[in-house]
Amino acid sequence: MSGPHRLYQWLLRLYPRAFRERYGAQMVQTFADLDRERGAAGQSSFLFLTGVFAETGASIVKENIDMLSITARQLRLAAFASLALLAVPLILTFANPASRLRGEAGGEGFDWMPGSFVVMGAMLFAAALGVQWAARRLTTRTSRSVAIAAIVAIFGLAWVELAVDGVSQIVGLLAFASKVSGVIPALPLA
Amino acid sequence: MATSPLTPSVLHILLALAEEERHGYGIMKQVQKDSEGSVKMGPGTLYGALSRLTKSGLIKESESRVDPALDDQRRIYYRLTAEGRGVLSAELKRYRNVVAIGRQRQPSTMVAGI
Repeated sequence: MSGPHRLYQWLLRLYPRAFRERYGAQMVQTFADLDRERGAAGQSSFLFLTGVFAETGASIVKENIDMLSITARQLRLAAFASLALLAVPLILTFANPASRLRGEAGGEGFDWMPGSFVVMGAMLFAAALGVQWAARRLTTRTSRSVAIAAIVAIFGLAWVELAVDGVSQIVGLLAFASKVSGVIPALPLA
Repeated sequence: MATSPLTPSVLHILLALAEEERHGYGIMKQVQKDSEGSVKMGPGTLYGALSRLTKSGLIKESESRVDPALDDQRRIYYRLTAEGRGVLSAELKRYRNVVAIGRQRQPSTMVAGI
């Protein structure tokens, strides 16, 4: 394979992955056809390469912009999913007669503060985007599963920490246990 | 896409596929021939258009893989779908209407035989 062909193949890597996988090989073949035609006609190699590379470059920009519009749809999906999930605590909070939207129901059902809805909404939105990113970008099932499990775990830990300082309490307990038993090396967060 | 005018590139791609299945380079050459060189498209424009036309259901990849002349099984052929044929017919009808209006309003500027 000649230098220009390799360079053209490299250029195609700038296309969105889905487009490249579907049309990359065909484009390389068409490039070779056009180059062969140019050679037979005795035309300038420089002009041909400049023209094709510029045209393909413009197409790369267009296809990447098109891909961003897909991301905009995914943003809407993430927002919709977050709002749908937020509707559950919202309904439960308003359905709770003890609720004053101050988080003071004392364990008597849901009583979220307005700020809690904002924080939870942001966390849900970020998690939904992360899951979509993993599902779209990662190529193997294992990597997708690990990434999605990690996102869900981080979401859960953040929720537990914000709700009841759960993570801090667990870390404190581990530190205390290590100090008492002397078996586990002391944790810095005592 | 079915209701708005087609871009020159898309119209010529559909026209190129109206007669027979073609692969990318074959489409390019046919478009060049049909437009007498006025519509030139490189690989980026061509495959971007093929991608959009495939997504909108106007064309599809054919089962055929072998070009009898080149005997290259890697080539992927495209063909018009029934919907694509309908869109092309509607677009050509739109052009005929435009030409008819032009004939009525400026008969002296119209080329005989159109």
